[in-house]
Amino acid sequence: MTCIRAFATFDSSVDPKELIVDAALRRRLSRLVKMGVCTALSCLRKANVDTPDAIISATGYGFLADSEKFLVGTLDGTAQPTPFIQSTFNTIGSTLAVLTHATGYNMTYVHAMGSVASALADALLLLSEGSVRNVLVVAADELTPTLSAILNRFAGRVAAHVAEGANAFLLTADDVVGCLHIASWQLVDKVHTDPSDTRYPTAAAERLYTACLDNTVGTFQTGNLSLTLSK
Amino acid sequence: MQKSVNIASVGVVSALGTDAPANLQSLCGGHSGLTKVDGRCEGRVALSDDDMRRLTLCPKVQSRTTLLALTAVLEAVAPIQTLLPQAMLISATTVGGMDCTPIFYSPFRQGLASRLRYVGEHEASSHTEAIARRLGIQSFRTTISTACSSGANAIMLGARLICAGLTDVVICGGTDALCDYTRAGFGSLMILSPEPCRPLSADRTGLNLGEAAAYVVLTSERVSAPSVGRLVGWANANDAFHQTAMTAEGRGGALAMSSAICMAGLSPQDISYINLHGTATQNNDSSELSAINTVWNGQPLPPLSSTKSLTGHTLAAAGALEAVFCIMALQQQMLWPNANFTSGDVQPVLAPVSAHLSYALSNSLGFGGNCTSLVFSK
Repeated sequence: MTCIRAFATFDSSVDPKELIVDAALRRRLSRLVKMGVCTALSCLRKANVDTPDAIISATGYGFLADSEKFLVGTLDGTAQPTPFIQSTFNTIGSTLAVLTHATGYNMTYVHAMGSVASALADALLLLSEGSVRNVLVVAADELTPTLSAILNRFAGRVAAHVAEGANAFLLTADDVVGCLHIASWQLVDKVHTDPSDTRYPTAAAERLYTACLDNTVGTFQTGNLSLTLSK
Repeated sequence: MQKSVNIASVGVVSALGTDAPANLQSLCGGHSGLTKVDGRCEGRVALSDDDMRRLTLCPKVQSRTTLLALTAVLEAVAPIQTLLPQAMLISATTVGGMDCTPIFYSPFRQGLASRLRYVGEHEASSHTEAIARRLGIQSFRTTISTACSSGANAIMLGARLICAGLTDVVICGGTDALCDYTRAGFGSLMILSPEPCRPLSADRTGLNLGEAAAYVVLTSERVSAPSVGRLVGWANANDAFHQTAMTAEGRGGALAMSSAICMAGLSPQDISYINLHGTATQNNDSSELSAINTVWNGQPLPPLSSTKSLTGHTLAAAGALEAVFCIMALQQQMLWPNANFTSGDVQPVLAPVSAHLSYALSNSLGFGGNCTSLVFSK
């Protein structure tokens, strides 16, 4: 039996200073990394866990602001290493590993609207293998002016994404009263997309957060993943 | 629960050749694929984008990352066509369509006319979906991106899906094309060498970039498939130290290696060959050797080499490319060389040579402390 021990969504009222104490590190982090990391750290705090056994991240577009910053640098001949490093897709996962001293399994999925399903499926698989007691799953995407401009041009062809967000969950292999449980799960061939999922690639995680908040039982589907939530 | 998986087939395109037999031939001859152009020493694939559009029958694909992937994956699935309808797909990349994005972005930022087709494949998932479309994949597919360990992680996830009974067939691997973004990135970190790289040499000065795509098809015992080898151990661990540097003792690598070896029911002395991550940066090679010494704990080390000395560092493809090289080593009962070695604490394999091999270990140690080790058998 898998339990959603804790869950968190990005809260802009939380001062990153409270969660990321190292000022030098904090200053280097981009907006999206801070969003994802702070949300994940809040989730860990709620569960009273300092060091997760595994960390799995999901992002659709990755670190657009840093990618753009570095790209501009290459075009202008002013390329700096920091935005290059921060543009690698596993930056949230690796930053969390450093901050929580987590030496366990650490994975990052970058598969558009399938990212959340992949991260959750991997987490559930990991727990079923019996090698970990808990898995931190964090999903995050940012919206930048450039992304908006590009999506507007594609709007006739694909639904326009209009938002951003970060959500985190701590899944555990135990039976905790009061938590939502994942009674069963499977990978199905038919991909499921809820209309609200199209707002940004990892928006399905926000939908799961809401389900946790409202204690909604029943089937939860995203991408190829189908879960049965129970009390 | 099944704890090892069959490797049914492989597909590969790299600086060593445009298919698996060509790569094998280069390895057997100890031929390097590194070439020097415009002051850069890199491992380029000897196929133009148009060549690959023709070969793969995908005339509309823009990104070279995708084209390399399609080329390699088509070779990998050729012997298992009947298994395709049930196959899952896990692919890895770090570049994605960033090789084309600048063509869109440069005029875009100046407010000039820009072509959407050059940014349409930007996402990491784009190449995976292109493969899925080309092969008619109907079930679960996903994209992993964990820097230099990506390709190995794709293979590891594939193995776990099979062992859990979630699929009987999975195509896994990685791809990355050479591009200016990556060149500028590694250049800004000052870890590029203008000369052919010298893994394990005390006077090593940095890595050479390369491009490649490599895929393996993993199958369960429940389906009838050919066999070119087995994957018997895997593990991923994190160094948890710094984004771009490993701990001096390489603790993430030590954890990954010992876990993978243990999982295979083996001890370090059972490993016949280590294919190193061996990028030829000062930090990686010394950390990786430290980690190996920790795991081997005073026991004699097996023969080891970094084939990045022949192909360059192919980033997300590396873990998959080097997995294929380990499979080939076991099939051929040969050790692959570590080129350009001058002198150092540990002497690697210097020339291709026949050897009795039972198990091969492949390391991939990526940025963000992401360390993956895979263990292969015949």
